[in-house]
Amino acid sequence: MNEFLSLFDYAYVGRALLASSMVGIMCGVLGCFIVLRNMSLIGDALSHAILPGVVVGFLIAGAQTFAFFTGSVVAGMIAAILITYLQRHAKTKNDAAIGIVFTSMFALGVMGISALTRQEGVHLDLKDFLFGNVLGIGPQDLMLTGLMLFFVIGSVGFFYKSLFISTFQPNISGTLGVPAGIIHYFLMLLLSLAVVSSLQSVGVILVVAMLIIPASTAYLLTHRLPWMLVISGMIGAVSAIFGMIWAIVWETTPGPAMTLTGTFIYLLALLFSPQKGLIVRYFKKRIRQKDHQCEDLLKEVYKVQFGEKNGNGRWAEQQFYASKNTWKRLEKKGWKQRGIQELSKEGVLRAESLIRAHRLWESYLHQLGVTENELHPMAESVEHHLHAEFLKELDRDLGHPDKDPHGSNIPR
Amino acid sequence: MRRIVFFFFFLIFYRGSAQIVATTSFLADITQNLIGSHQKVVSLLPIGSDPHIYEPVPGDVRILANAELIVKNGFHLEGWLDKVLENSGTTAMIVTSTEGIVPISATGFENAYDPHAWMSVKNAKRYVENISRALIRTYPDWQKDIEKNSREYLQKLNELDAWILGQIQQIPSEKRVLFTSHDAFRYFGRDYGIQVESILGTSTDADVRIEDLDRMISKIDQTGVASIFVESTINPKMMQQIAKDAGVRIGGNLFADSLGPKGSGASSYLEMIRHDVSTLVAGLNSKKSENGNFQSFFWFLIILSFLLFSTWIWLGFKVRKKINTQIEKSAELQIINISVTYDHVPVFSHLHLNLKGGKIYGMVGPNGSGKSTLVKAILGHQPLESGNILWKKRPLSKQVGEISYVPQKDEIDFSFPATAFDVVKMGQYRRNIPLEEVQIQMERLGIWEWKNRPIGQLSGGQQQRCFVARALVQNAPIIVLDEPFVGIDATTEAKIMEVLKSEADRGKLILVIHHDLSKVTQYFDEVIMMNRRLVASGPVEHTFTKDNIEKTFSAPGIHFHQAQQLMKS
Repeated sequence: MNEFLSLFDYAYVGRALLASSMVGIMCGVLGCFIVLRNMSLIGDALSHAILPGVVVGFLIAGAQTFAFFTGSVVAGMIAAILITYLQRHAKTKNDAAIGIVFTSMFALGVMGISALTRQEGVHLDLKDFLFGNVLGIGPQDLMLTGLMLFFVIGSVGFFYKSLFISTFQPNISGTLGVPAGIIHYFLMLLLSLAVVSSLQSVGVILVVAMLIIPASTAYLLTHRLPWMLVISGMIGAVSAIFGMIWAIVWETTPGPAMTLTGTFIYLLALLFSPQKGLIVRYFKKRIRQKDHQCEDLLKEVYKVQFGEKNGNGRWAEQQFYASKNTWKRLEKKGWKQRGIQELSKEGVLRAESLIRAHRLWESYLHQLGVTENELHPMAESVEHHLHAEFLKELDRDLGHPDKDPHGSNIPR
Repeated sequence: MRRIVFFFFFLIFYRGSAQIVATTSFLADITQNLIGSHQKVVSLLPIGSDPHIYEPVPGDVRILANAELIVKNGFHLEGWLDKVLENSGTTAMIVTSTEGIVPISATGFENAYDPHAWMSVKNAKRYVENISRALIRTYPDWQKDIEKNSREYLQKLNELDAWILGQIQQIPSEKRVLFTSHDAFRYFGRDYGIQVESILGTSTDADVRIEDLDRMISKIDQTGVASIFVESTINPKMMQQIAKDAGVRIGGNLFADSLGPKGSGASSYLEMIRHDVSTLVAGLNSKKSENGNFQSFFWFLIILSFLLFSTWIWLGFKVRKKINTQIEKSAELQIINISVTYDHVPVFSHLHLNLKGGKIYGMVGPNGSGKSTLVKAILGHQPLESGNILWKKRPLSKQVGEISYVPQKDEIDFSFPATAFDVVKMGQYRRNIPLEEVQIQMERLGIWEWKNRPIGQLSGGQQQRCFVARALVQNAPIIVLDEPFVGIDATTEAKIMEVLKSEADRGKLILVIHHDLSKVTQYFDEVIMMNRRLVASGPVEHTFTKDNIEKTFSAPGIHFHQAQQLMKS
């Protein structure tokens, strides 16, 4: 443990942590808009399209941080403009346009790097570009990333409503006073800035992960955009920090470690999210199934009790697939009196409304021309879901029938 | 065409003149010195590239195939070479220059040797012997010249050796530590008494680990050297970082895996060694000092900040300035002679229409009749082939925020993370409207109690009420609704109509695309009947006649059946 802590004495570890958590926040927040606009692929595209910008920057000003930065951002914007142009004016499918532009620019960049290293006697490492080099982050990179974080977060705060409106309803945002085109390019600029600042820590290939994974996780956890932004930013920072620590402790490369930490958090959210989580949904489904079984039993008991069917409670128990638990549930809901096979007042009411729903639905289907044999199973699955208000309307439309197609009474 | 084919055959079967090929630039230089002007020696790797991670290009294979003699270093420096040799099918003689040299085993790999033997001049003499022997065997005719050149070159190497020893003596013995990117200097260090510390190990394609950085920085601290060194073929960034962290200088650029370009003072093997030793001596003898000229970077930061924040100001003017609109009874929306085409197919042409504030207009017509296109044209989403749309005698497209639009439901992403309140509040953006208005309109439409529900969890009717409430909050003089009553319960439909009537009475112009012909007379003041042209428009009682309905729906459409029924009644 002490050995681990002593790592923080070294400036570059602190710098790497700081830079990657800033990148995590920035990408997390921006990623929300990217994910909600279905533009995940554009994030990927911009990160690749930057490469020729790096080469040109190097040719003009040498191995300087600001040359790489300016070249990359300009290349990113050119890619964004080309993609949008192809999509709107050149009759090319949206994703195909993205594919064409970014692969071409990436190819151009790779050729540029290959030419540079062969002819000029320089060493521009494609691997650093692809996978990042988080340990090589210097104070200049750190300052630049800080500025970008401030600008990106500030922009999202300052233009939050424009971003919200043009993301939610891009087609009609003009009528709400938000020019969607301008906002689109502004977002592309922010995205380019974020991607360029992230290259050092995660590299081209994994930038997309930082953009998409935290945002998708936050999307599972909340129903409101402001919270989604906050949660996504936090998840981004957390996965960056834990990924970095993981990389230090297990001596592995930081970019992939950050990505996998993010994926892990995403999986947790996918399973345990209070509203959209798989586990919660599974249990809700189970409870619904049990309720339906319980209601089916209630109906059977009602029919026996009021003489629509022969037999007694025992009969229902034997004939019906109800288990002991379903009986208990019936008591717990207060629909059956304890100990005796007789329904309570609430039970009778509930049973009547269910039977009414079933028989009204059958009448309705019959009117539509469904044959009598098929009526029952179709109504059986629907009866649990019909609201009182809807039934009233149905009843009115059908002209208040007394009997269902099978000739049974429809209770009031 | 034939010429092109011929050209390709020429490319495939072309064999350049036979020559001597050396894998790296320094080997080429040494060999050239030995053979003199008899033959041209070609270096496979261009100057400046890194032999450890070099990736051969197709041209290399051709060069190798044509070679008569191939000079390589050996000791696994050219790991990539064997495969290429095999592919090229060359018949050349291959000479390994390091033959007979006692190798230093590489750190971290078993049975692997540090290949950088040439960095010690003592080893270089052995290189010269190996290469000249091979040359004589390949070109027996020039034996005399080669022997003479070899003697002269060895003499030069001896002089260089002596010079190096003298230079090293000038460094205090405790400062004889060389920190560099990768272990290219271990033979040099062994022969001249210098301790070598490197970050990457012997090869350049190993990944840097945090451990290595630690080790490096703490060692630099311990030894107290003033300078560390970068190598010409390796990205200097990492070493610059370490120098900054350890508070030492970059002493200069050392050449090891490749010669430098012409004019760099290291363009031949002899110059390269001389350059490295001078750099080393100067760097190690210098005093510790702070470096780092941040000036240009700071200027860059300032300019960048200026540019970025000026986009804020510009965009702020574009999207945050308040919109003011006024509602005037009988303000006119004039659609003058407009034509619209999709992919050169006209949707409608020369359409004239005059709409007035204070009335509710219903637009009916079969599918594909151009209803939605007309609405898009009014909203400014559909470029016009010709014609103008004027509002209050000015082009509508120049006036922001005059229209509130309730879109068709299938245009909306209902999984978006927004609540009913968020949606209605959108209407307040960029307008001088207090927040209370949101509550007032939501209560008016009876959805205030659902304000914190996500829109996706509302019923269809409640969702539509939200979008109508938003349009009301906007308080724009024109309201356009695209099929607002599709999939909506009767109560909501009645409620929305009631609200729209009262808004029309306030002077708003309301335009509804509608499909249910039975409600037209009940709902609208005027009707616009479209079927790829304007069939008729005007007050409902005069315009919505059997004759016009027949004309509008005469082309078989989805409403044809309904129209027929209506005409019977």
